[in-house]
Amino acid sequence: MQDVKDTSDPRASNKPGGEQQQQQAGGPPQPPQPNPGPSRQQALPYGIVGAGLKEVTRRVPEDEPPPLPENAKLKSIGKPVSRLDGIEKVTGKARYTFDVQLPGMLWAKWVASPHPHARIKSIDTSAAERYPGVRAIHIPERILSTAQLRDPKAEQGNRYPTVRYAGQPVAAVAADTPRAAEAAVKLIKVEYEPLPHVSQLEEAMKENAPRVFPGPTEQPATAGGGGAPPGLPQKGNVRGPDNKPRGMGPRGDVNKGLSESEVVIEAEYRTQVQTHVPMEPHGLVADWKDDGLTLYASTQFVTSVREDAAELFDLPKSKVRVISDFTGGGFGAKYGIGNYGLLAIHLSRKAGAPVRMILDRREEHVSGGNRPNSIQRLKLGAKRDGSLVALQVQAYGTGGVAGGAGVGFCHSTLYECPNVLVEQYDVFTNAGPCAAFRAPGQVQGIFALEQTIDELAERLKMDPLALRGKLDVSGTDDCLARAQERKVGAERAGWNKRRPAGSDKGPIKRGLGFAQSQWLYLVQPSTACEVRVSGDGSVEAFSSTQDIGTGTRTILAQVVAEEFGLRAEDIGSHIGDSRYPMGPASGGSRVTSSLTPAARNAAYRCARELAARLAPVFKANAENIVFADGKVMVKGKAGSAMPFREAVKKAGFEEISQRAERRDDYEGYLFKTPDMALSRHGIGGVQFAEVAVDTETGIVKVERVVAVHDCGRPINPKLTESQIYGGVIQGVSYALYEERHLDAASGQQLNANVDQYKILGSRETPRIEVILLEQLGAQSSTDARGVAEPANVATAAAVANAFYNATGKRIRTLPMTPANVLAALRG
Amino acid sequence: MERLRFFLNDKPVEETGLSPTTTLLRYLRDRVHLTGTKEGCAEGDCGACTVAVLEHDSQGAPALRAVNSCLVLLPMVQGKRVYTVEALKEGGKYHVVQEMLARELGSQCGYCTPGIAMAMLEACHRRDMDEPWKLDAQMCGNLCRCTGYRPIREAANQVAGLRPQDRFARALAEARPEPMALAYEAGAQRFFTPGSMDALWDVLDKHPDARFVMGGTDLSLEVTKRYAEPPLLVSLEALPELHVLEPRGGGHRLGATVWLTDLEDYARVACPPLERMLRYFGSRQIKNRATVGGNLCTASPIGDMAPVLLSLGAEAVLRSRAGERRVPLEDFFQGYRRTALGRGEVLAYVDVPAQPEGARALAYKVSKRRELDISAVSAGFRVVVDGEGKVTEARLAYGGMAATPARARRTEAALVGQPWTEATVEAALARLDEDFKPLSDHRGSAWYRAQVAKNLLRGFFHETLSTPVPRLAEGHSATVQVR
Repeated sequence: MQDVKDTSDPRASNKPGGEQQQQQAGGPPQPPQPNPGPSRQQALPYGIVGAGLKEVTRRVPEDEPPPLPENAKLKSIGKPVSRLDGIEKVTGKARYTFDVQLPGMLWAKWVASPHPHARIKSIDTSAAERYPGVRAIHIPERILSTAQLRDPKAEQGNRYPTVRYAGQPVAAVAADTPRAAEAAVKLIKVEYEPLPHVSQLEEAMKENAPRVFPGPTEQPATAGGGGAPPGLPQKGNVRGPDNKPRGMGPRGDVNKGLSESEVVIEAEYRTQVQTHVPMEPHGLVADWKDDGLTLYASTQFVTSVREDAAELFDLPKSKVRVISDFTGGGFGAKYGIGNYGLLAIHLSRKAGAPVRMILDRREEHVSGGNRPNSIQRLKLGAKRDGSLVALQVQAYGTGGVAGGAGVGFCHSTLYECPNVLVEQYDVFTNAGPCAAFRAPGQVQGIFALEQTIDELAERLKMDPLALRGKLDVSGTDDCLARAQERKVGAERAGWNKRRPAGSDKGPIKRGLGFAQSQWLYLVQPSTACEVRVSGDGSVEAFSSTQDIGTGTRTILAQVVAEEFGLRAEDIGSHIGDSRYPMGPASGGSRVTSSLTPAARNAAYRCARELAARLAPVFKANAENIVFADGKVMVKGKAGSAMPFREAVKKAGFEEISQRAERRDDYEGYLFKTPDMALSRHGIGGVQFAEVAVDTETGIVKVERVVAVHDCGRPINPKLTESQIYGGVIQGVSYALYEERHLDAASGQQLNANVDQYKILGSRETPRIEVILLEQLGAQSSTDARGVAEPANVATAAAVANAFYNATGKRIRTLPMTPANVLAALRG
Repeated sequence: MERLRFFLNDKPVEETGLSPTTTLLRYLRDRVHLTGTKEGCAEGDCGACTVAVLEHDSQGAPALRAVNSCLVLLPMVQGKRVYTVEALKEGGKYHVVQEMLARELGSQCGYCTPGIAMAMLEACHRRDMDEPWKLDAQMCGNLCRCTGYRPIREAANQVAGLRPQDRFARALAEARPEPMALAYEAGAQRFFTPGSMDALWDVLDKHPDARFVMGGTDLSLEVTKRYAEPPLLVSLEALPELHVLEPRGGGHRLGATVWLTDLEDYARVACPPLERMLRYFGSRQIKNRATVGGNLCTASPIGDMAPVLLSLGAEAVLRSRAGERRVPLEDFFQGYRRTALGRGEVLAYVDVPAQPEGARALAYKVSKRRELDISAVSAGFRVVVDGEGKVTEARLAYGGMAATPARARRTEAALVGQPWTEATVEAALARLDEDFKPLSDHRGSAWYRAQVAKNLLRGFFHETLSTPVPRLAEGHSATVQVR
């Protein structure tokens, strides 16, 4: 065991994993001791800065840099540095995949099935082939992004893939111009044999419902947290139950617990299907040449695009290069090559020219991914003193033709409760596939759980915040953070002025609500980074990771700059190319937690090597060479200071370079695979929402949100705040507006646009006040964690609790449209 | 054959052979490779494709207008000056709009940023950015999915009304934008912009099936979404006769081709109920291209302009070579997306009569988002109350309740002759269920529509108790700090 002085034994805790899970067959294996190899005992700062920072001693690999102090003592890390690529973005120079225009590039368009479920009898492409400008046509032999039959023989004798959702690609054309491609797809004649379909969740659960798949299925995971656990039973369209979401739970005996409860709260909650709506749709430009394939991808994970392409086209990875300069948002849905990429590569190979295949807004809504809906039944048992005894959840949701519906892991990890049973089911429907979406499952689950906890508080006449203080799972970084977050948040939000539910007399009713948020602290162990110093004093950092808007280039530069005493602007920050050392996926809040320690380690080693080269120049020992404020000097001798570039030039070398990996967390993980490690600690926050409900029209306004969050050490508070604003706003948008509408008769989406699929605009944005904790967990060389998911998780729940405080009525259905609101007020 | 001619970032451009339904966005990106302007939705709802066009306002003065380039067809910018994000940086110097956006971290993924910069550019050169709500209205047409709205709005607030001495200021000072007549064809498609009424009648004589277009905010969707290639479009933009906006006989004459931005400015003082609906109507970019005529002639049951104009007793004035005829607006709508327009006839004006003494009037729109959203229910109400407090006339017009925008005749009848009290309103509301049998769709169930329709009238009663014709009282939104 590692030497942890003041944190409890992980196995004593209810947090992710725990004893039960490790004992279960098929559960993740017990992780090996972290960081084998030479090590040292190292004292590290631990706790929340400004609220009692302590020291812990942990076993740290010998070659890790010394621990960083709190941000106030640093020069680059923790500073609100402006986005390094901000100017490229405001000038229109930033090149997204959508903007890639290669010489001779062709434009591709696909034929989408109008039927939600059909066998394809024949496809006649002859007229399209003759259309002027058409250069290649391809009919896909397989469909990606959906669940796959466990036994492919369950469906045989079909020449073409079965159509399982309206909008599924059937064939694709590449032509000289977009107009030619659009005209040519209209000329492709497809003969369909329509099959019975089902597009509504509850219909699909019925025993006699049309089958979406003829047999049991599997849904592989994505790095963003999508996918479904393997090997679950499937009956008809219903697959499950999954009773240990992300490896957590079940525990105890829930029936016994319920029978011993003094208070039982029971309710049903419903959430809607939400689509990702990245401003840049999914897309890829493929350039197939004899000597290799180059892909320009709008992606959250360069590595996954290369892996897919190499596997599906049987190419060595060395022949596949993926470039992603800028990605216009992803939110969990942009992994792998997708059907658009598969088709683009085939078309490029056939035409011998680069092919651009980018979805239009309708295709994006229909086939680009979505957050599954849910019907959740919760039963919560408690003692009169508020302690929980049992929590039972049954949840159904549909991710269309993909698995991955669920309501998260919050039931096992947020609150102490000895008996927990979550049974969640995937229900297949003839609708576009779901994909990971900014805290998959957790957003839906917390919406219901946090309302239930509020109901319990009310029933017991306890303050909702005090109750949560009593219930928080203990012995983790989360518990420390949550207590502090409630304290500072309540003060800022004016919690003590909160009135009893339904206090307003007029038609406009106002209220204040609260909810807690939690997400996983994930690390991608395969992360590496290279740092180079050139003879002219240039410093560059390289990682294949990509920036989907979070500011990856900037934080990479900040971390490297710190070691060289430079400014972030001085660092060449190179990402988005599969030729660089492997970088993490931009998903699950793992870029900052994975990349920054690797980058610091590389920069530290490189700086030490540089110091050794500079030692003769300064006639000093290497260990006495320091880099600060853009200068090099001998420790304690200010007079020796020389500008960085000047000093490096004097050292007389061409280039030095160091590569370093992300080491294991010093305390180890709950479990670890080559591409993902999970800590027993999490990340999270609390949110307070103020709402105004117009009881005449049903229009809800969120007027103010106070969001208090922790993310380990914030590398750049301004970028972190940006993400929290974004998470809150996306949460408000989910709570109030967003909903995919499928027509039951045709299986077509009725609002596959941004005209009728509403997302929050600037006017509806509430006043958002962000308070950011700096919490040091003594886990890595930067102690940084991500923040994307938690900011989105608690919002809808906080708004719903505020709705109750305003009106005295519970709203258990999302979104809170005027119609749903009037219905809830009537009920 | 005429060529397409316009100025792109101050450089003259001439084109032939391009389809007249080529959108400005596609032209910019695919033809001249200015890829700074993005496409997000291709239907005017996200603002990623925003560019600036030097236009003339209703008084004929030059004005820089942010428009959605995805909805603009190339012939619509004939003779005009078009600016894209690439024009912002001048002489190696970043524009203040760019500096502020970068400084405030107004980008996350950055894909929406160029469009936001161009919407900010209009704000930067507007002379009337004197109230915070105008910044809300200016920026509401740009979606950001990473949702950096707060920093975006802070940046916009910094630049609004600055009017720096940049290339745009010079163009505004020098250029005299006038819509130009055009007869353009390419392949099987034609686009006419007649320069006189006689020229219009000639075109219509030859092509009675021609479709009219102004800003293209509705029609262009057929091109971008259904890949339609309409063979013949006739723009009414170069007809000064239709571009009028003036008081008339105590009321107002609203030219069919007046941009809604200009109408909104005019209505602020002249006609508060109309202004309120225009504030709800849509984004700045849309209002910079949409017209009264276009909105009424689509005859959509949920067109936002119809209920308020119906309630104010407006008349449609139709013109043809034969002359002019007047049609009460309620008779103009003949069915779902059908109007009273005959062959060879155009909607020339909408005449809003003087409002009677004792009139109480207001307009409402219920939707999820306030602007850039389709109404579940919209309404325009005018009730005339005499000196004794009795209702002498009631015009209650609704959108979203039937196949056309329509008046609630039975409810109106139940009000007339009664004292204007809450009890009268409650009693009359029982009749609303006889007036309308609304449909259920994804914007609202029949029950919801019926309920809200009633609640709107209840709200109208209370809102007009002390002020008969209230202005839209509006603070700034939470994300704007008042400078």
